[in-house]
Amino acid sequence: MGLDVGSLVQDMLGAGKAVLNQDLPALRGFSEQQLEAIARQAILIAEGVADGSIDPATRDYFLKSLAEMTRSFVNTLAGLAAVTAEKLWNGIVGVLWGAINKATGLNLFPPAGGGGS
Amino acid sequence: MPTLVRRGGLLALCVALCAALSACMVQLAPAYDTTIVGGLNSANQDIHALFAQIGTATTPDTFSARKPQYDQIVAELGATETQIRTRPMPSSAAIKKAAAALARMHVAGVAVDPNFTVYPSARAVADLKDTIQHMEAADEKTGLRGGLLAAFQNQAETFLTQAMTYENYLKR
Repeated sequence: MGLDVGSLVQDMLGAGKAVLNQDLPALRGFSEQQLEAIARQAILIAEGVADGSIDPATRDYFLKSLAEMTRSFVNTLAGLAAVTAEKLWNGIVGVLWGAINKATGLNLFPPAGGGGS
Repeated sequence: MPTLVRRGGLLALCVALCAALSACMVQLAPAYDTTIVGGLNSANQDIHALFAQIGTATTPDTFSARKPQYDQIVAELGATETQIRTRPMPSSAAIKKAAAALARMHVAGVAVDPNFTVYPSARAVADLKDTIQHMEAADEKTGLRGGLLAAFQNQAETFLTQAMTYENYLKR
């Protein structure tokens, strides 16, 4: 059985799409939740200053922490993106492995990344 | 004979391709670790229990009753941070490239972030621990109320969410 390039490309696209369909909504949801929390924090700091519970030294601490919240959020987002890139890459490679194994009738190195057909 | 040659060549090509593809299977992020996730879940429960006990306000004269809870949470977070930082890291290049891509998209802070790390959840846990320690100091000194208490709670939950989201995302 030979390799059908057209269907192989479609299978690879399908593997990538499956990963993205699962991961992109999760990344979007996390980002929206974090941005809302960061915006809320700015409001809470202002409320604390207004009600007298946050003194100047504590206000400075919270403002520095607000910047750190934003940077740590972006740092986390980069980490999540790396995981998605791994799943995307291995999913596509898995399809290739599956197609080769199917075409040759061999199963020398089953794909570890999944997605093989 | 030509058929045999073609079959032999195809087999050799496939074996060679499989060998090459095996190198293409990548791990760009660390492995999911149930111990780390368990540590975060415990800290999560203890932090929410502390806020539930605090309610809407505290005064310094009752701080000693909460001191063991603060100690417990700080110890849990310290242990979890160490576990994260000592977990094998397969590749640091991918997250740096992802950060560079985010910087090109003009997402705030990455390009000038001096504390950028390939251990994002360890960073969030360290920030969470720092938050709890500042909250403890404020609780002991002045008590907690109003915007001060709400800001500590929102900050703690935000860092906790960052760490838990990343660690759970590693389950793939």
